[in-house]
Parts: sequence; C-alpha cells; structure tokens
Amino acid sequence: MRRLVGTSVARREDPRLLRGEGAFLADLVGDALQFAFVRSPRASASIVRVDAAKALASPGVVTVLDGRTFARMAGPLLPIYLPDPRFAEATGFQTAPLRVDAIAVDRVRYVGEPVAVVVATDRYLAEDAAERVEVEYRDLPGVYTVADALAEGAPPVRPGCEGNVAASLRLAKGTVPEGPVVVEGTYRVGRHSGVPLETRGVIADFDIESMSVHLITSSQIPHHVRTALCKALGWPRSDLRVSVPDVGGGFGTKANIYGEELVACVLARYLRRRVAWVEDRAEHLVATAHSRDRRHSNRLVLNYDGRILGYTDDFVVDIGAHNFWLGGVTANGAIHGLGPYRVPSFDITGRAVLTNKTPTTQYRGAGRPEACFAMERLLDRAASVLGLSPVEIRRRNVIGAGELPYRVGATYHDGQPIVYDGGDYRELLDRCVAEVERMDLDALSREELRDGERLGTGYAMFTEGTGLGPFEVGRVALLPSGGFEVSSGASSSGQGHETTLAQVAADELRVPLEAVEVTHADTGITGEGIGSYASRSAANAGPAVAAAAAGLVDEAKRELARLYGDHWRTDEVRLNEFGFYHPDSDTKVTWQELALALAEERQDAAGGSTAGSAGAPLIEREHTWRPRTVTWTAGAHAAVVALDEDTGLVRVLRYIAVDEGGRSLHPSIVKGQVMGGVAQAVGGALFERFEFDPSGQPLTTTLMDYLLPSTTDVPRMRLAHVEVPSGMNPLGVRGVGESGIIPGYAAIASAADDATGGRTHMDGTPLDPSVLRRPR
Amino acid sequence: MKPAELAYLRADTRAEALDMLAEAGQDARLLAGGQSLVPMLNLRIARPSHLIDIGRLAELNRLGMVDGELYIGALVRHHVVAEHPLITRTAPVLAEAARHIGHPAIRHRGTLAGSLAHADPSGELQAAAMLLDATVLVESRSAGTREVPAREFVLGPYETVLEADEMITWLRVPPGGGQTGFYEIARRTGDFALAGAAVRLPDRDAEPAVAVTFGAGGHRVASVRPPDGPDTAAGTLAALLQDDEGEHGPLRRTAVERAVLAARRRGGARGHG
Repeated sequence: MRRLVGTSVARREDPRLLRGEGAFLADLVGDALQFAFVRSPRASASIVRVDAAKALASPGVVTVLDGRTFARMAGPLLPIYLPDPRFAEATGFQTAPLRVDAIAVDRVRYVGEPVAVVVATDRYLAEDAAERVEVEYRDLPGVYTVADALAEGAPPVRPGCEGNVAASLRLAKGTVPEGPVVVEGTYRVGRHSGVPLETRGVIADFDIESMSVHLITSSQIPHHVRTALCKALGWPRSDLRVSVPDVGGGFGTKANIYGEELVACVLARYLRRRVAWVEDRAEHLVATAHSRDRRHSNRLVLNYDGRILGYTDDFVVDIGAHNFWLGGVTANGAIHGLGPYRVPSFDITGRAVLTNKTPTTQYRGAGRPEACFAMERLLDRAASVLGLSPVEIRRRNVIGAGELPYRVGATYHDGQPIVYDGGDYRELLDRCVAEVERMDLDALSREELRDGERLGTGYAMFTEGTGLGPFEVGRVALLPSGGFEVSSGASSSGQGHETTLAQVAADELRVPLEAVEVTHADTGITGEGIGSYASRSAANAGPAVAAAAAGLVDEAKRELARLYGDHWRTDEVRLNEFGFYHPDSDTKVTWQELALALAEERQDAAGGSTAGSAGAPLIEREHTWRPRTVTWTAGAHAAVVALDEDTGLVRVLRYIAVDEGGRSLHPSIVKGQVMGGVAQAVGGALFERFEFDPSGQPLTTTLMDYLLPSTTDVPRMRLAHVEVPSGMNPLGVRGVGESGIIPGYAAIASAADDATGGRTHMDGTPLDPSVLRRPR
Repeated sequence: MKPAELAYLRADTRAEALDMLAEAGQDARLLAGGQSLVPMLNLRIARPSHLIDIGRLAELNRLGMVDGELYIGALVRHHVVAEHPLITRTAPVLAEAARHIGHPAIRHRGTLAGSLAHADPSGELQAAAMLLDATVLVESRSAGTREVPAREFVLGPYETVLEADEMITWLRVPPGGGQTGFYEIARRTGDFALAGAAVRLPDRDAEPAVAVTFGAGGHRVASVRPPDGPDTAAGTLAALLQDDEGEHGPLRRTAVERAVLAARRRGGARGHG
C-alpha cells in the first residue's frame, strides 16, 4: 500500500469547512445566557465606584459582577511559560511576578480592560445593560511608551514591578571586538498581531451530576488553559474539562490565557447555567493580546572583507499591561538574531517593558521576525558601507554544508545548547538568488509597473528553532466500528491536523486514511497536552501519534494472542494492509474482525447490554513524546516590490522563499503554511500597526484603521522546500508554521530600499510611505 | 457591537417613506444599502430612534435619459453605476468613480444616495458628481422637491444640506464635453482614498479645465482657463489644489497629475462626462 505520509492527500476537514458545516464556537452558543463586558475607557485610572443598580434593573439581566466581587470567586492569572532554569542561569534571565485579575480590581491598566461583566438572556440586552453600569474613574499617571516606562520615577504599571522591566536577559559569547569595521542601527517592528478571521469566544456548561464545568474555548492550547484556570480557581482538575471546537485562525493570539475564560467558568458554576461570550471585532482589536512592538539597537563588527567578527544587540519589547509568554518572546528575540551566519562573538541583551496598553502575547514568529529584521537590515547597511552587494555579504557569512551541524555557543530557552542541525544554508541563498535571476525583471517591469513605479529586489535569511517541547501527547484508539480515533494536545486552528495526524496514524496502522478520525484537543480525552504553537505540532504531536499507533498495533497483537492463542502467541505476527497474519500460515485477522470480536466479548461481559459503551474504544494507547531539544529550519527569501515614488506606496509583486525544512507530512499543507506566513509578513511590513495616542487611547479600533492585507496585496510566490530530514524525531519532520513570516519584513524593506536606488534605509515597520516618497 | 434599541420601519413607496420621515422626527434615519450606516449602528456611533428602510423602493432603483440629461435613482447600486452602458457611455468618470468604492460585496449593496448622504470626505461619487456639475434632487412631504447643485450639497465631513425630513431621490447629470480622468491613491485596493482626483479637460480652449480632489481634508473643486490651453491647465490645476496643510498635499497633486494622464490616455474615446 502506498504510504500516506509525504503525499498531498485531499484535506479531510475541507468538505466540512467549505460547505459551511464547520462548528465554530459561535455556532455552539444555542440558548446559553450571554455575557458582555464593561471595558475601561481609560488607560490608567483608579476605579472609585462601580454602580450596577441600573444595569441590574435592565430587561433580561441575570447578574452583574465587578472586579472586587469577582476576585472573591477566582484568583489572578499567572504567566504560562518560563524558560528552563538552565537557560535562566546561562542568560541571567529574570522575570517579575505578574498576577493578572480577569476583571480589574480597584484600578485599570489599559483601555479595553474588563471592569464588570453583565450576564443577560441575549447579547443585545447584555450590551444595553453594560452601558448602564456606572463607573467612576480617577485618572492616574500612566506610561504609554517604553521611554516613559523606563524613565526615572515612572509610575509602575503593576505592583512589584518598579521600573516596569518585567523580564531581562543577556546572551553572550566571547568578546565582541571594537573593529575594524563597525556599523550600527536602530530598528523597530510595529505593534501588530494575528487578527484571525474568527475572534475569540467561550462557552461554559455546568454539569450538576459531576458538579464540574466544561469550557469550550476558541483556543490553541486547551491544556494550558485548564491548568491555568484550575490554579486561579483553586479547583481540582476533575472539576474542569476544556475542549476546543473548530477554530478559525489563531496565529498565537489564541495560544494564550484570557480572563474571559476564567469569567465563563465562574459564571457557569455559580449560575449553574450554560453561559457564552463571543468576542466582537471592536473588543478584539483592544482586548485580544497584541504582539511585536519591539526596538533593537544593534551593532555589527566586521572585517574589511565583510566577514562578521561580532554582533551586539540591545532590544526592548513593549509588552503592554502584561504578557504571559514574556519568557518565550524575550528569549526568542535574543536567540534568533544570529541567523544562519557565523558569528564568532556576540552580546545580546533584552528587556520586556510594561506599559499602559493592550497586553501582548506571542504572534507567529514570536520575537524572531523582529530579531531577523534587525540583523538583516544591518547586514544590508554593512554591505552598503563595504561596497558589497546584499547577496555577497550574506554569501561571505552564511554557514555551509561542511560546517553543519553548527554549534552556536549559546543556550536555547529549553536549556539545551543551540546546535543548528541543518543541511546546507549556503545552498538556500544560492538557490534563492538563482530563482530571482531566472525571473524576467524587464518583462515584469513592462507588464506590471504602473505610472511612477520602480522595481526593487531585497533578500533576507533566517534560522528558526522549531518543535519546542517539553512534550506532546498522542492517543490512538480502536473503535467498535473498526475505525480509529486519534487525539493529541495539539489542535488545529486551520493547519490541517485532521489530515496530517490521520496520515501518520494510518501509515502505522496500515489502514486507509478514511479509517482514522482525528478529534479536536480535549482535556477530557487526553489528560495532558501542550498545544499548537511554536511550529511544534508536526514535530511533537506527529511522533506522539506515530508511537501511540505503533503501541496500539502491539496491543492488538496481545489481544489476538489472548483471543486466538496458538501461533498468534509469538513475535512472528505481522501486520500489512490486509490485516494481521503469521508468516507460516494463511490465516489472517483484519482490524475489523478484531474489533468485532472485542466488541462481542465486551457485550457478553456486560450481560448482552451495550448501554453506555456502544461507541467507546475497545483498546487504546497513549504516548508522550519528549523531544531532546528543538530542530532547526532556515531559509533565504527574496521580495520583488514596486514602489510608487510619488506616493511612497509599495506593492509586493513577487516573493521567493527557499526554505530548508524536514520531511513533509503533506507537501501542500507545508506550502500553505509558508504562503500564509508570507501574507502576514506583507501585512506587518506594509500595513498593520496598532496605534495609540499619547494618553494611551487606541486609534486603530476597527478594520478600517487596522489594515490587513487582502488578496490584492499578497504577491505571487515561488516556493522551494528543501527536505533535510531531522534527526530529532523518528518522522524526520521540522516545524514550518512560522518560516514564511520571519524574514518577510526584512526582505520587503530591503526591496523598497533597492527601489529608491539606496536613497532610503528603511528601519521600521510598517514601512512609512512618507519616507519612501521622493521629495518634490 | 449590537445596535442600541430602535424602531424599524419599512417603506414600500416613496410617498410612504416621506410620510414616515416626516412623522418619525429628527432622530430617524433612512436605511438604503446599509454599507456605512449599519457599521455605525453596530458601534453605537449612530443611535437613531427610527430606521426607515427604503431598500425596496423600485421606483428609485432605475436610471435613464430625459431630455438629454442622465437621471440616476437614489437606490441604484454602485456596481450598476460602474457597469451600466448608459453611464459608461455618457458619464464614464462616474462609472470609474464607482469602481473605486470598496469591494464587490460593498458595491452590490451600497447605493448612490446612501453614498451622497453619508458625505464621507473620501466619497468617490461625490467627487464625480461635483466634477460633472450634477444636481441632487431631494424631496420632503413639507417642501416637495428641490434641486441642489452637487457642488453645494456637502457642507463638510459627514454633513450635507439635507433636512431631517428630506430624502435624495435622483441625481441628474447634464451632458458635457471634454475628456475625463479619475485617479485614487489608497493604502490597499478598496480602501478609503488618502487622496483622489477627478478631472475634466476641455475640448476647446474657451472652456475651463476642472478638477475635484477628495480624501483626507474633503472635496475641493478648482477650475482654470489658462491662456496656453489644456497642457498648462493640468499643471495649474495641480498647483491650485496642492494643499499645504500637511502630508496629503503632495498626494493630491499626484492624484491630479495622474487623473490628467488618464484623461489624455482616454484619447479619442471621448465621453460626454
């Protein structure tokens, strides 16, 4: 039988999703009570008084809770992820304790922060009543920029975090020399984020029998959510099940813990009712975590021939009012600045700084695009200073086949030494350049340039540690139907897990794809799990499911031996696509026959009754996969842009991505991941930025102001995926979810500079048209 | 993002709509295609007491020529303005303007009158109507029909001469000569214009060259009759319209220059608009 892994089988979720038969969170609300929030209109203020009397008297209102009341039912939320202690020791990583109330108690820290929750029979009435909650604020001094936050005597955003530095680290190797050639820069990546098509949402149900709550949340990380909420609530794990429905995009914004999830659990438990909240876009733009918003001040020390001798970088991340992943985003932003280059010495320091703005989290790339932008842009500047082409300076520094695996001389945030386990990074650059040279740029100019436009080409390279641990759980079960159910802690928010994990399982089980169904992640199915983020699902859930499926085959053989004895009781039993067989005999047993036998046996044991167990698994296996450390990917990307020098507006016409990845489980899905990342890089490079006025008021509060790239803005792409199987896991896979986005900002900025003939050196995103405009 | 409580009424005839408007008072709003009003309702920026739905008034969803003048009904959708042969033939700049409004879904719902009444400073149809010196016909139960030149219809951003009990019924476009051009500068396809221009270059030197710019800062009209003919007219227009108030000044100038270029390229295919 043809193996499924490595082929682009039709995506199994697509018929359901394309027919509108998907079941997203808002599709499941039904007649639940709905809640809405009173959100703070002030960026920094104390709450003098909350008067809910008029709201409580409003039609359809069930209850109103303010922060003080709520704080009696649930404790604060705490950060999800802290780096490994070995990393902390190697980098001096320090973090301030963050304790975040789901509903503000006594003071607000950003516009959009929940101040009270209103529960009503429908959303319209809840919003009407929310308007009638009277809140008296007294403005407090706030900090709205990193400079404000770090100023002497700045008001602390949170108690216990005087100075507003929430995390800091230093990653260094050797002594960075003073010369001979030094180039410096300051690079900024604007505040933006994933902004998925489906906003967030939660439904919580209370089960009176078990006195437990079932939370359905549009999330990438139900297990993290369960653990964090239980901690805040003081509930045992048995009191809370968390599952996810179809999820319409996450990109990291939903790999986070949110106060609304905590509120839903409390309301369901105390009201003993099904309650729901579906975030609207206005809420989403101010209350779902933002990302990026980072400034790097860096320095490259090079030889006259362009070879890098050392690199220093001091970066600051504006994390807003909190960030539950501050360990990850600061560590990623330090580690990934070095790129696929030989950097003999480096000294990288970073800080995460609190401000009175919307909280932040990781967004696709999570610190890497910013670090890449800083290094790649500075390399372009160095090339210009030294009279080299941007390609040539990269050629002189990129790590080639003979040097890999390459020990960087630093520690990853999982505590392991960083070793680039790739194939040939130089080859990626050469192929990318060859792809650009193969394009007929004259024809492109003739056919696609409009009045006033000029063409420009830019390059950028990156490396990425993918497949972050510490573990993932896979579970495979044989059902009475003879089919299989596959589950893991990693759940799809559009990436196609229902297809790829089924491919992995079906190959191990030697069954057709159709025999395998993949469930969404659910703490009620696998008690443990990590989730889908950090380009980790294929590299972690993949091997976990493969091992669980292999374990199920062994389990099946034991059952055969128990049921049929004799020669089945040997190690000689084999499995092929026709079933289990013994080489010395022509008898075979199919999975279907085994399922039938086990189901009959179970029915007999239950005295003929199938009640309660009809669909329950007959045998199942769970496996916890623990990777040794991350496995690395790299790539060389090129952007070809058209710049209108009269308006300063940029269009990306073509994009080339040559990436080194692992074995592809599904080549089309891999391609789709890269393309989606590139599309989001176009957004970040040209359009997307959450803006605030000097008093912390958000200015980008609708999608008229926060500009997402549309189909007309996303370029035609040429993608090459160079397969170098990873030795880090038995499937040989590496992560691919973020590779499209990481170098995109830098490549597009570089292309814009090329289009101005070197008149500009774009040092921030989104690219500012007024800088790119030719003075007239 | 749910609208505040309001009364919803649907008019089946023009007369009924005018009656409802007269009776519902100051805070009533007409609902046509809803492409601007519904988002404002959802954000609770607009909180009308009554919403009078005129979306089904077939009598205002038509267009035609009367005595050599083009009449376009209030409820004609943008995609019809963009594609209808009568408009593309007689007022191509109006069709071109409509093609620049939002995305296909918006153009299939949004209406001519809705766009004019909303009076967005970036309104493309407003600009084309002003360029063509069109007339807006408005009607109320108390005052009957009155005619307002498009160039006087808008008082400022989101503000028009419409009284609370008045509704737009028709846009009347006179025949005109010369070549027209349209150009819009926006961040993304379908976005509100940062700057845009509609221009008309005359066939004969005796007539003026006209340009209307729009975008941040609103609509502006300039008209020049330079001694040396249309070529210098374009430069003079651009200079006239350059606005020194800030970053969008140079963009307006570019928009006019490009609109002039487009008008020239249209060459022999001269419309009446």
